[in-house]
Order: sequence, then C-alpha cells, then structure tokens
Amino acid sequence: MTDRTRFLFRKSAGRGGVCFVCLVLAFSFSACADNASISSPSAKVEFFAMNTLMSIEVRGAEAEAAVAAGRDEVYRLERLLSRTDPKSEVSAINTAAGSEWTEVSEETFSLIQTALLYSEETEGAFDITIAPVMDLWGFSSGEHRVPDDAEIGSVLERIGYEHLLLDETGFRVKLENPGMSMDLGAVAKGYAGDRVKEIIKQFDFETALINLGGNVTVIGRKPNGDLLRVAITDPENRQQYLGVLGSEDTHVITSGGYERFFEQDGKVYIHIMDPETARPAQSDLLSVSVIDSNGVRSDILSTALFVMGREEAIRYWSGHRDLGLVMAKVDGEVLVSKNLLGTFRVTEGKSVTYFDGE
Amino acid sequence: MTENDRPGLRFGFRDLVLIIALAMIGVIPFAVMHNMRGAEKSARTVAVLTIAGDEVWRCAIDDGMDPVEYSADIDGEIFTVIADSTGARVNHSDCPDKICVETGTISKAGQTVVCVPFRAVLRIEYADDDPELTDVGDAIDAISG
Amino acid sequence: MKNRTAKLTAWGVMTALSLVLTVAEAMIIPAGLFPIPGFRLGLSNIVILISVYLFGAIPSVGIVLLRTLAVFAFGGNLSAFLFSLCGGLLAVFAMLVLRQTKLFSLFGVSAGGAAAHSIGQISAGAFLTGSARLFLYLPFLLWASIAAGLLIALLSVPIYRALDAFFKAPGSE
Repeated sequence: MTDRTRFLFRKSAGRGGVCFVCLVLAFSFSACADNASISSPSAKVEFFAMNTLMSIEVRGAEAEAAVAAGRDEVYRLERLLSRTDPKSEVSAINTAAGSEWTEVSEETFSLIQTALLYSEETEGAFDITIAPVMDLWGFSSGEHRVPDDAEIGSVLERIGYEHLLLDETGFRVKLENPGMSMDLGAVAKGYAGDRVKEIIKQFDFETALINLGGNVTVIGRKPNGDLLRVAITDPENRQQYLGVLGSEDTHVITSGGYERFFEQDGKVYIHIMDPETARPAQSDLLSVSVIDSNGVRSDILSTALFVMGREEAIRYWSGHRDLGLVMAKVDGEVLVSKNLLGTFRVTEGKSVTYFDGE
Repeated sequence: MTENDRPGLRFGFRDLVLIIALAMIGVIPFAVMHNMRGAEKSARTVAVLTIAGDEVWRCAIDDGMDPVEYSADIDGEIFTVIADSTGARVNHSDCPDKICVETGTISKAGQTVVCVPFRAVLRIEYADDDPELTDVGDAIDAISG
Repeated sequence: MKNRTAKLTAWGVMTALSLVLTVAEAMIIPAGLFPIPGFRLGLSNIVILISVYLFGAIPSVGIVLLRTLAVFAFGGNLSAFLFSLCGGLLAVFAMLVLRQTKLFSLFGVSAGGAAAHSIGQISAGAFLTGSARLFLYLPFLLWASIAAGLLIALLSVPIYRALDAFFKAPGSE
C-alpha cells in the first residue's frame, strides 16, 4: 500500500472523496443507457377534415405514430358522421326521414343519444335537427340569403329534436317527418377531440396539442414544465385575444357568431341558429368558450349557451359549476366563471367580471 | 498551492453585500424598459401561405414595408394574399363562401386564415421559429375560436 | 502537484465529473420541477468552482469549454449550445475575477458565477431573437440562479475540503 492509498483509507476527508467518485461513476453508467430522454422527438400533422383545418401535434417517443393514428381517427369519424357524405350513417338517417328506421353503429347511436340529452337539458337551445334551417339561410352551400316569413314558418315544422326517435334495443334511429334532417356538425369536432385524445393516450408521449378548427384540446405540459397556453379569439377584433388560458388535459371550445356570418342591407346574419325562431340567434353574447375535460360536452354547450344568452348561461353554470366558462358580451365586457380565476388571464385593458352563480 | 489561495469556506458579510448587489442587477431591465416604452421591438414575424400542405409563398413582415401581393392560380381560380406592415390577409378568393376574405388581417404568430374549399392556409409565424425562445413573453400555443 | 501527468489526469477527471454531473442532473431532476424556463440547478458548477481554486484560470476555462462541447456532441441543439457556452464562459470568468479579489468566500464566488451565467443566457437569447424584451425575464432567472449558486457553494465545501486535502497528501508531491 502506498502512502497515498493509506492516506485515503485513514482520513475521513479522503473517504468523502472516494464516496463522491463512486457516486459519480454510478451515474455515469446509467447516463449512457438513457440518452434519448434528453430531447424527445415531436411530430405534427395538418389536414383538412370536417370542413375545417385540423392539426395534431405530439411530443414523445411515439410521436409519429400517435399523430398518424389521431388523423386516421378523425377521417374515420368524418366518414361516419358527415352529413354531406352520401355513404355516412348520418346521411342514411336523413335519406330515410319520414319513412323508415335506420340501423346505425352503437357509436353513432350513443352520440345521437348524448346530443338529445343535452337538447332536453338546455330546453332546446341545442338541437341537431336544425340542419334544414341552415340550408334555408344558405349556410350549408355558402349562397347566403334571407328567407321570407312563409319559408321560416314552413321550416319550423321540419325541425325539433323531439321528432328524432331512438330505438335502444336495436340501435335504430328515425326522423319522424319527411323533410327533416340531422347534422352532428356541432358535436362531431368535440367528439373527435375526445377520441383523438384517447387514441394518443395509447402511445408513449409527453405532450399533445390538438386543434380541430379552433376546438383546442391539450394533454400534458411543455418540456420545461409550463402549462400550454391557449388564447381565446376576441370576437370584436379577431386579431386580438380575450385572454389566455393555462391548461393541462382539457378541451377549450369556442362558439361565436363572428366565425361565419353574412351581411345584407346593413344587417348581420350569423350562422348560429335559434331552434325556436329558425332565425340567427339574437344573443347578447358575441362568443362562448367552454373549458371542460369532456369534448362533446364542451362543443355542445358552447353552442347552446351562446343561443341562451348571458342570463340563462350563467343560470345553467350555477347548476354545473365544474364547467369553465369565458363569454364575450356585445358591449365588450368579458364574463369569466369564478373557477377560472388564476387559470384564465384576461387581456390587459378589457373589462372583466368574474361571476359566481346568479 | 499557497496558503493565501485558500478560499474562505464560510459565508461572510462581504458575500452578503455582493449577493445583494447582484440581485439588484435584475431590476435594471425594468428600469430601462420603462424609459424606452414604445421603442420596444417584438419578435419578427413572417407570413406563410400553404396550399394543400405545400408552402407556396413566404414573406417577412417588417415595419414600414410596402405591401407585397401574391396570387395563386388554383385550377383556374384565383386566390390572392397581401402582406404589409400591419400583417397579412386574403385579399381575394374565387371560393364560394369567402370566409377567408371575411376573416380579415392577421398579425400575431400562430394566427391563421383558412380557406377550406382551396385547402389554403395563410399563417403568421415567428421569423426565428425557436419554441424555447418564443416561450418567453406573450407566445401562445393554440387559439380557440 | 508538480508532476505534469498528475495535473493532466486531475484536469481530465474533473472534466469528466462536470460532464457526468450535467447528464445526471438532467436525468434525476425532472424538467418541470422548477417553474422558471431556462433555469437549472447546475450541479456541474461544483466542479468548476473547485477547479477555479485548485487549478486556476486556464484549466477551469478548458473544463467549461470541453463540457459544453461534449453535451452538444451528445445530442444537444445549437441554440442550447450557444446559451450554455455564453453562460458557462461568463460564469467561469466571473468566478476567476471574484476569486482574485480575495474579498469573498466560496459562497460569494459561486453566487457571482451563477448570476453571470444567467446574464449570459439572457444575452445570448436576446441576441438570437433580436428581442430585448427577453431581459424583462432576467430578474426571475437571476434570483433563482443566485440561490442555486449558494446551494452549489454549500455542496462544494465538503468536497473542496476533501480534494484539497487529497492533492496536498504526502503521496502527491
């Protein structure tokens, strides 16, 4: 044994050094095994589906596979639920309106069932049989026009969710009257958000950002641990934002008249229809954003609460306090449900009211 | 190694003075920025046009720039975009619904104008698209609505 | 430590240690633990701090350069490389200068290095983006770094004692 080694074993200070070196050696071995975790791969797909632009972005070991599977799922749902695709199950139901029952997949059936439940809960503010009204005003074709009172009167007879019949024993659906038509457009993107989220969760991933035409779904956090930041468009000035939401594992879905509208004789006609009047909703709101862990619910309620207007929307929220709600009023005020305090940051200079029930 | 090279191994009064002085440095940017408000320059942006997933045009957005126009011929139908110092917009489109034209001007990174019939996307991006850098400040990850 | 080989060996081991500590830190401390982007504890600065005292200027700067290059070579991205190069060099220069003044203890020197590191990081970021706004973020990074620097100094004290004794042991002459 040399002087030096003897020194190492004798003096406690030296022993500390040895421990330190051993510790470091142990780390250096494990470090070689795991180099990939330092920078995870990421992948993004952007595509057109359901009549809008969609993007799916995933970070994690299986990012490539996850985004591809997510996109395929959206395409599958589009084939199943599109009103314009003559081969879809929804088209089959519409073709048989007023005559016979249509047998559909369990998936389509339960989605329609959910939609009807919300129609009842919102007292008809949300209605998937509104399609003939959309057609009448030209929002389906893009050739907008203002119909006369006689046309409105006749179309009112061809809508109403209570005339959409379900037969649970055989997954059969029927539209009671001829000329009726259903459209799952106001649920399909929300449902797609739920499904894509489920699909991505089957893969090895860290963060996912799903944007289905302005319906945003986020899962996980940024590599540095920050929350993902979802901005909500200011309906008065689409260049600006109402505010920014820091979110993790949630859907942020917005409905607003500003998204699609036309002007005639100085009057603005928006694309969100009030099933009661068969005319564009006369809402005192410009937009409603719903923040929730359930995409279908967010999608449906963003439309329904918009149609209901401020007072009824707040009343609805009082009974469903787990929802996050951001609403822009026509006078520019931003209404935010109290449970979003600290999560949603309103743009500086905007007047904001946090509501806590009626 | 000589004796007077040995470091003090105890936290002393002079250390405390140094640390307080260092901590004060952090306040300087706020003081400076406060005086230079208005002259503050945000990250540079570019307008990017993709049609059916292919990038067909890219144009930097600069203060005081002259408007730059780009026209795409999509199977005989015309789609025109304009970039100027205020941002970018779809100026003309032969598409049936004209939603893209109605969307108006976009100016912030992450914003898009979409024309579904033509599969066209006009978007604003950061000129140096480094996510780690754009995380700082008012960068956002997605826009709802 | 008159022997040239002994010196080189010591420098080499220290370089390896700083590299290993960098990688180990990335592995054991999850990225999201601290809510401040760009902030790291910087365990490998233990090695730099000790080198500044034990070896002096040239080996210390060398260790920083080699560590930064090696991390980049093992799969870092270019902007992260520029950040850590700027930060790392400024930090080691600051430590060397503060040590030369002989006014401060290990704690002051370490905190000074950490502060310089965060200033270097932000400067590199502002230079790359051309956006001075990044400096508004300096206080958060700076104050967190100073705290980390003090912690690093605390960890370095026993290690310094051990290594100082080790290099001065009879066998090393």
